[in-house]
Amino acid sequence: MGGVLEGLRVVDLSTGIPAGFAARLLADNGADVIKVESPAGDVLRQDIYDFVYCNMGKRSVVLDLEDGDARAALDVVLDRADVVIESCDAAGRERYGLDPDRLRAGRETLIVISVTPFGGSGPYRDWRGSEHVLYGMGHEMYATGQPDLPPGPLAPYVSWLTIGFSAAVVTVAAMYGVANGQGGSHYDISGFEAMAASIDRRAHALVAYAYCGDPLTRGGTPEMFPPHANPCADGWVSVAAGGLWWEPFCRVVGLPELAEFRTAPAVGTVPEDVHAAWRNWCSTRTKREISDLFQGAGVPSEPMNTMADLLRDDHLRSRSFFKGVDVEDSAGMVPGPIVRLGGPEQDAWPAAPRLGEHTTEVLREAGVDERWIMRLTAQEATA
Amino acid sequence: MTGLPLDGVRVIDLGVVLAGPYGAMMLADLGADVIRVENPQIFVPMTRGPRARPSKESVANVPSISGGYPGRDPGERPWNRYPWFNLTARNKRSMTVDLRRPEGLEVFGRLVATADIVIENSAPGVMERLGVTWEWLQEQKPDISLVRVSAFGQTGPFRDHKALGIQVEAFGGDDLVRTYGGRGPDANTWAVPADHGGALAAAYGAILALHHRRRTGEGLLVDASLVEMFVNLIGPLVLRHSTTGEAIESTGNRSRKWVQGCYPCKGEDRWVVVTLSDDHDWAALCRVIGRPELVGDVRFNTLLKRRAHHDEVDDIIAAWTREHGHREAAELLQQAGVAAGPVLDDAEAFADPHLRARGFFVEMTQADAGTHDYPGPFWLRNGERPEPRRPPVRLGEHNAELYAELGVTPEEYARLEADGHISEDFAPHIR
Repeated sequence: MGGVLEGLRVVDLSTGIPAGFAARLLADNGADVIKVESPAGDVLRQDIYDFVYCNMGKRSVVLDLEDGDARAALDVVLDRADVVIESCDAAGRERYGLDPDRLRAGRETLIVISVTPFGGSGPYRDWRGSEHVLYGMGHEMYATGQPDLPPGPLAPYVSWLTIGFSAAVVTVAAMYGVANGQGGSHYDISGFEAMAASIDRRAHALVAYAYCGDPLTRGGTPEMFPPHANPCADGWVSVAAGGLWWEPFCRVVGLPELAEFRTAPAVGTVPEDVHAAWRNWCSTRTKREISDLFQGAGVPSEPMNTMADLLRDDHLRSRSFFKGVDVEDSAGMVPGPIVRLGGPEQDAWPAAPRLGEHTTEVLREAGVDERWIMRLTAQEATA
Repeated sequence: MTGLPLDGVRVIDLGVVLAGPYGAMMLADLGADVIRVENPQIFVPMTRGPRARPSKESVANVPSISGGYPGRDPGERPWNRYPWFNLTARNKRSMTVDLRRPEGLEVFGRLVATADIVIENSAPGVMERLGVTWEWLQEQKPDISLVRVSAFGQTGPFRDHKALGIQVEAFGGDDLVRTYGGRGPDANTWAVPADHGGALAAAYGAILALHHRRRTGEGLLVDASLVEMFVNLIGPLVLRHSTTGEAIESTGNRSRKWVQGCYPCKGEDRWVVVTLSDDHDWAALCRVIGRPELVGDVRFNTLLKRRAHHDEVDDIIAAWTREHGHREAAELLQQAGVAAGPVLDDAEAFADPHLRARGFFVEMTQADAGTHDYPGPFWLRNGERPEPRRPPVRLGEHNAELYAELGVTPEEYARLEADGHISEDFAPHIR
């Protein structure tokens, strides 16, 4: 079902990860996504893995928007677009005429999706955002990690790509509205707000704060035994043994030291000899063995996987999850669809485009005059 | 008519805990008519509370995020006052019915016949035991779509694994790539990024199914695996590793590319995050902190060298941030064009002038929970955040109107009520 968005045209004017990923998710589902780049190329091209990941399946057109003719050619391309995704700051919008209202003028069904760190209004509208800045401000960084250490990290990319995924959800909804006869519209998506709306703790912590007045803190949630992360023979394993799982947990482990606890105790109240017996039990078994033993008794437990573990995991292989993709002259693997729609899937995903690979073909399709195309591509070649 | 993009779409929300209900609410915010179907004879822990009727004492000292009823009081109907639930419950309607009994399933079938999407995120097998299979749903409504969200997906050897959010995170590779620099995953505290991604996946899958039906006239069975969705969110690390063979070490609060850190500020437990991506950022920072002589210092005059001397750079930045409040430090750096932000606690985020200026928080009044500000939709449409159409839905609040819409007669209604299908309370035997 890779083609549910087939026939829809998206012009991706963005740079960077969140908006680029949003546009790529549309390409995954069959939309024709045209990435417009400056002659210098998207800054993401400096990291080939980031670039490939956020741009697989797009076409690349180089237009130097400093040049009036190129800007006019962009207008011709935009006239055929269903969606524009952009990430410009205020100065860029002014300079290149990319203000959302101006883009929408005369294009009644055009959807414009702006994905920026802080949105197009408000006191921080001109602030610069990095992934970590948005995580620190919007998300639950303050309450993540140890009380005697600084607030702690999330995995790299998770915040950026969550913002991009959020934008994609709004985009496909807007496309559905237009397909059903609604007019176009502009959606302003702020990374800060996409983070503050996250049910990875922050959003419901805000409601709990509104209800009770106490903010989350690092160390404020006591951990139950066994700890989340347990060292074992070949790495780390996660086990949850609260509530109804305590009894089967104890049965699997079979340590007499645990008999005195009727329910899962707080980690801090467990004597050192019990910790030692548990660590010893784990140390003679692999993470997969431990997880299998507990899952066999209905207790949640999973290995903490490395990238290499993920790539060879039996479950993910049985679902043909990873797909091949070209990375310049090499090849790598990327995760499969973010949700499965059924139907056949390819083994490999389309490559990310070379800079300007599709300039001529896209401008020709849009009906730009051949002589004009020749001049624009010649300018590009000399740039 | 909502005028919103999913106007006219009807969604049945069978979601439990967070991801399913929140995904369904995203669709409700976008204009869909979302109907929660809830069973007053069964209490699913952590959906409408840890238990149906917790005592005041039992929630007095638990962290507010998991027990924070308004004023720490579970009240008469705790299930309408639970923060996790109320966060995910605006713009919805609720009806109750016991799907385990044939007459309940029959009523549910009538509702399905009017719907476009069913969302569920119970463990695989739960729907099948109720008889709510994909085939049964299609018999009620040939072009229905079913969105299923689960930890490992609907197929494969680990399909039936028991997993909480933190096991998804462990399996999906998160724990090992988000540790503090130099520390193991035992220093990580819980995070559940896959739950939020799962909500987005539910909404995304549902909307793509609507596009598919518009093109083909057919519904879709959508299989969203939290693990697979999460691996998408760290996809560039998978691609890098699989292409180069390079082991992916955690970068902690630093970055693989730039100079970055989380620095202590004036005050107790206050911090600022700073990201310096290039020479311009470095020069701007040096001027802001009153150390212009460092711009051309041979230890620091390229990104590569700044990264090689990261500890020294951190010390220089921290010496300055310690003398400034976290907001003040961020503002001074941002004025010079440097990406910086205060690490905001919940109280600060709740009062944040930018979020407030953009109307991110929406005030809602619900009969059992009172009047409070809630995080609103994360998007603005044509410059406006849509006003909530309905406050967080109470259990069975729309029984009368929804049963009437389904053509249930007053006599049938009375019988279903007497039989415990229709109620605004969980059954008395449920503690």
